[in-house]
Amino acid sequence: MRILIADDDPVARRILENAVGGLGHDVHLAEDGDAAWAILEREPIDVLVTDWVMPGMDGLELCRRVRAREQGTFLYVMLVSTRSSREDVVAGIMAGADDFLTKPYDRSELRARLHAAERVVALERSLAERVRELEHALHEVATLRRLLPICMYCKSIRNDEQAWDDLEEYLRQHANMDCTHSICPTCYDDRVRPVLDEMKRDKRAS
Amino acid sequence: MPNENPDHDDPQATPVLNLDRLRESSGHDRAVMRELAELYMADCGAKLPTMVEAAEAIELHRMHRVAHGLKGASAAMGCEQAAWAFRVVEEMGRAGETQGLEDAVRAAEDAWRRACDSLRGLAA
Repeated sequence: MRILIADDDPVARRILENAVGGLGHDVHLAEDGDAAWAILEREPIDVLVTDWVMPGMDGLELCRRVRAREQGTFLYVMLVSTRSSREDVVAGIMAGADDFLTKPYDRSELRARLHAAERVVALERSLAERVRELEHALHEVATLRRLLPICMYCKSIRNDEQAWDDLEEYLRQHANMDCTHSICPTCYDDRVRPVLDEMKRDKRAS
Repeated sequence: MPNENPDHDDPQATPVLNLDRLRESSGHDRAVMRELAELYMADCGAKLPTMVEAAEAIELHRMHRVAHGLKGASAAMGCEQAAWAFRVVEEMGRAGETQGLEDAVRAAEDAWRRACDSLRGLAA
């Protein structure tokens, strides 16, 4: 994963860099919240690991800004702090953090939490991909629905199996519509009236 | 790690240097341990005078912020007495408490020096 570490303390930053990099992740570093935000604006980052107390934009504000972004891919945020009270954890999660890690932490705990982060990031990516596929499919369906392959003579319609349905059948299947049958004046004159006239002639002749 | 309430803790009961914590932070890598020790001594050594100046000027917000950073770095390095002492200063800054501040700051400086002595001993 591409992991951004934001911490103004060089010791904490180096410890995190060493631990996260040692797990095989691609590590980016920021010295404070403003620098982290600048990186997030231009780099595709999967996980942000941020300290709470930093000069300028602090970790909470950074979380809020990340969550206020409307566009872009999902970003998993882990808040890391020496603060550890229940109120602190609640404030961090409410600001938009997905996880809260208390300093000092063990590497095994960090590794486990990043493992969970990786699972969530993969799920979010998969979900976003499925949504994109569905949107594409819906667009295609909408396009196909607007373009009906219809016989220019008999008005039969080619269905998805490449067979030809009459219009009535097509409407029943695709638009859930049933037809009531009637005769328009033109068809009455062209088709019905000649038959009636012929029947009258036959009757007279007999 | 310092107790949540330093007023009810005994700083002398905590070790100057918790080697297990330092090993954990450095991934059990001696080269990284030495690098972290040098970084800690250089960075905290540069920040400590700011905390002392802020305390002398009774700029408690600035003092609190610097002490918070020093506490975090010390805790990560396993310098537990120093972390404890910086936490006392941080809490006094947060609470706006000035009574005994001079002693607390001096205790923090002393704890930090002891931490540095221990770290230098490791590097030797």
